Amino acid sequence: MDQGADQFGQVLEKHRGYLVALGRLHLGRRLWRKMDPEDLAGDTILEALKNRHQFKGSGENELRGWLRTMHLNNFRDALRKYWKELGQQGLEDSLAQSSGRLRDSLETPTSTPSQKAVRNELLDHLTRALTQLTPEQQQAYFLYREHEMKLAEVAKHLGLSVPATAGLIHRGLKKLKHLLQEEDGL
Amino acid sequence: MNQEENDVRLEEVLADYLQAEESGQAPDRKQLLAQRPDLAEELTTFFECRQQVPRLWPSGLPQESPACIGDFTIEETLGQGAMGVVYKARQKQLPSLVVALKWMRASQRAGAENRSRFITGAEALAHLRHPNIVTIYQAGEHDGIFFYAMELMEGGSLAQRLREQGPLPPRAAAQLVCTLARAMQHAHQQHLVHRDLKPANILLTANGDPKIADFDLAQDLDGEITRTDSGALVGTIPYMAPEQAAGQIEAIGPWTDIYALGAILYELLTGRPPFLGANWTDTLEQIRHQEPVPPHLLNPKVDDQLETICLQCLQKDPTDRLAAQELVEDLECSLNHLPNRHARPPSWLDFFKHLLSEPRQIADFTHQANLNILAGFAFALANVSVFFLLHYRGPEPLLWMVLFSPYAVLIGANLTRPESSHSSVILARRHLLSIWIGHGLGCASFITALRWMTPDYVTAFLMCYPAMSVLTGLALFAMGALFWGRFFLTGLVWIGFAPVMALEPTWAPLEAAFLAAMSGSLVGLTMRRLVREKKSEQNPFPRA
Repeated sequence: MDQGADQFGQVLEKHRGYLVALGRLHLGRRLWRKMDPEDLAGDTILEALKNRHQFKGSGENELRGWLRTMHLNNFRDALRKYWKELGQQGLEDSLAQSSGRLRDSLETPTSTPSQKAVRNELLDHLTRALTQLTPEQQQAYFLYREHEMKLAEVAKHLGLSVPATAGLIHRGLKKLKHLLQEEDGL
Repeated sequence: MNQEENDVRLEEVLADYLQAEESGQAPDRKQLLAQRPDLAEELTTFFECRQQVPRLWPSGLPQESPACIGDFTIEETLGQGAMGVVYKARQKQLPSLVVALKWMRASQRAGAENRSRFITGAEALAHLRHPNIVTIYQAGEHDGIFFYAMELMEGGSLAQRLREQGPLPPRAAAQLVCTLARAMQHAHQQHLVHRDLKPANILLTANGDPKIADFDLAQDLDGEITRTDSGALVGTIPYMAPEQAAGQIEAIGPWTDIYALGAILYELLTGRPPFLGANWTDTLEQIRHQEPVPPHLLNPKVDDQLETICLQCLQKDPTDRLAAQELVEDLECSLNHLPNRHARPPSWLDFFKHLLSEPRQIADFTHQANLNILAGFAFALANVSVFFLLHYRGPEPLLWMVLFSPYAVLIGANLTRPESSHSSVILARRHLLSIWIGHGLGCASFITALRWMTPDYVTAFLMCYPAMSVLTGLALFAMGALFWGRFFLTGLVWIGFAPVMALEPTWAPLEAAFLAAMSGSLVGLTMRRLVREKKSEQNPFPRA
């Protein structure tokens, strides 16, 4: 591998956590155990490295935007493939949920460019903030808030007591709020 | 009680609360806070965080449009927004009745009690008959999703009209807001608060008459801001009152609607909402801490009277805003060329109170507080050293170095802050840097001038102290205007000390050291307290 690719690879590595969180955010809750967001993030990083000459922008934000679109497209392809393989095994609602979310993030059909920009900004802020939570806080946050599982279900999923899970969600939210404000230099 | 025990208790209380909420029996938050004063601070933080951390996907709606909902047959989709879908529908039993049917997203966890609260809320709205409030015919639940059928409005929304035609003439704007305020007065009398008034929620009849729609029924469903998808964000935030922007749900009341009416009036007059930042957090920050640009600067046709009414509605403190009835009366006065009865431009006393107490650009406050203490002590230390160096006639270059090293601390601390996208922070930092660089250059140039005039360097240094004291006073005055009114007072003390320093120049460096340490730490510590108080503020509004 040439030196440029090596450097680009190192830059891309910094965004791995972001891509994993982005994947989790878009994944319907029952698909969580079936598809691995970390594998998908790895695939996107490899693809980005291969197509690095197509990246015409400069700066972190543009790179992240480029990666986000590529990752969400990959994600959609993986989902379609999974859908085909799956046939009729009762995960449709979860698949539909994921597809709906991807459509929101990729196409946002009714929005103007400025609305789309606001949404992307929000998606970006949230995803980046999420990467700084502990893995347990991240999981509790995703399951409870974005996937609307009941507290007792989240606790069972994480193998924790119900109060400990409530504490985890509280600390996660507190940290997220702090991070989201920090991001804007508040 | 130690921290660990406290954490365990908090977790238990939170778990109980969340589970009760899931089953639709969550206790009242105020009651919970009153019951657990030991955990009140953390619980408030929890509610605030839950409210403020945005959610990307509130809840899914089915992909396909249903053929019928309740007693209504769906004819076409009129629009889709963050909160749900709006259909054009016809009542089965009474086919001539064509309605707008709004299907709303709600949390999947919404319990039975929340459902009944939604229905009760919609029923209360249905009884709210007013010519300028959209009539609700029926509310219910279909396939686990809430809906309500309302009057179909065919003239579009005020937001559309603003987009297409721009601002209205001031008189027409006053008339329109007066009509809306009358409708809100009626709603407030029935103890109903809208909570989400904005031009997009003011619908127009085919004749152009305004009617208020979309009373915020969904807010109660899970107590969180769920409208975070793009359109809603762009549309809602600029009309949020400061208490909403701060996430203080308990502080929301009729005064929140008055703020929104003020924001609508502002936009009708000027063509833009009162606050519009580079991004959503910036806008929220501006709503909470900045003053709107007076409307007459954006549209010279706006007269003082209407501007006073508009700005009075946009007051940060809800107790300073008008009530709906007062707003109606004042707008009527303005339309009839009579003086305002309630809204008053701020008096001199208000002006000084405001000037001294109000923190501006609070975004950078935490950083500012510590920097103030640090800078105060750095200058104090430098001046004590200068005193001894002058007393023992130390080498001149060392004097220069010691006297000016605190500037390096101050400027360095500001330059090393991580880059931020927040425009007010960038501005704050730029102001601070220019003030202190200017101060340093001014002092240096003054000492150089004195040095040329007097052969003895000790005398030159001592003579420059009164002038340096005045310069510091001026710098603090500039900071008073930019950051916090208390700086005016410290600036005044510095200026007052200039003649004292001139009376007995030998002691001037020590006096300067004392002043630097005192003003730096006093302002710094008060700022810290202010930031802490802001964080733990629970319900600062006596009217709530």
